[in-house]
Amino acid sequence: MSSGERWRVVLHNDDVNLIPVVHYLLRKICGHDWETARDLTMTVHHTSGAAVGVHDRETAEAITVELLRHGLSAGIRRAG
Amino acid sequence: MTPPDFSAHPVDGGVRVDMSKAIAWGWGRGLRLLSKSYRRGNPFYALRSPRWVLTQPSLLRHMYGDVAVSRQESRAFRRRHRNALADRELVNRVRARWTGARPIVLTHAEVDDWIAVLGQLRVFYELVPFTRNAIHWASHFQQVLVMAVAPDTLSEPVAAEEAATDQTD
Repeated sequence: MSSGERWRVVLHNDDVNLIPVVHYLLRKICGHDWETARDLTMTVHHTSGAAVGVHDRETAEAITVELLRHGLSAGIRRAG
Repeated sequence: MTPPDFSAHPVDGGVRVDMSKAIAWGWGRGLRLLSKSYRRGNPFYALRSPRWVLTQPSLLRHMYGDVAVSRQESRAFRRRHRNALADRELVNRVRARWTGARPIVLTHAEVDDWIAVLGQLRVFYELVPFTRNAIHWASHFQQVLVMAVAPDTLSEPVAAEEAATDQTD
């Protein structure tokens, strides 16, 4: 599946996910440190969404699946 | 709305969860419905009017519609990850603990399972009738679990914004 292309994991803002849960999952699933997870959480909260990672396709899909499995609104987009 | 009787507190090696009998029973039914809906070819669930879920792939399309940029890519994504997105074993595992004896002491891994399944149940509840209040309670339960398993998690929007401001000073 991997062809050297980079893929963005995009987290969308929604009305149901609470800030602590998003912050926790960005640390747990995406591996972000506390501050990065906070910044991304607040960016998503104040906008329509944000890229929370750029990876090879396999990794990006795995992270997206995990975010979706926890009830977050996530998607995958080709980077660049 | 009065917060439902659901609590979680860190204990040695895990998280102690307690809830009322009504929550155990009512949400146990929801988990059973979710588990049944994940069965492939399951043909019975009505969505909020006028749509119908006819099969498990159809359910996943409604739950995870726009994962990729195009409808085709989204469908392919769901097909590749169908087993992870509709994991009945996970739901059944959570349901077994949820409806069992209380209070419950969960390992951290089990807490993560509960957070995941509550998230899935909430997405599912967004599709079916008569479940509007439950959507917000699912988010509340998730938050209670998160704060028990990781008390240093960003807590309130006000506190978060203050922290961000502090860092830019």
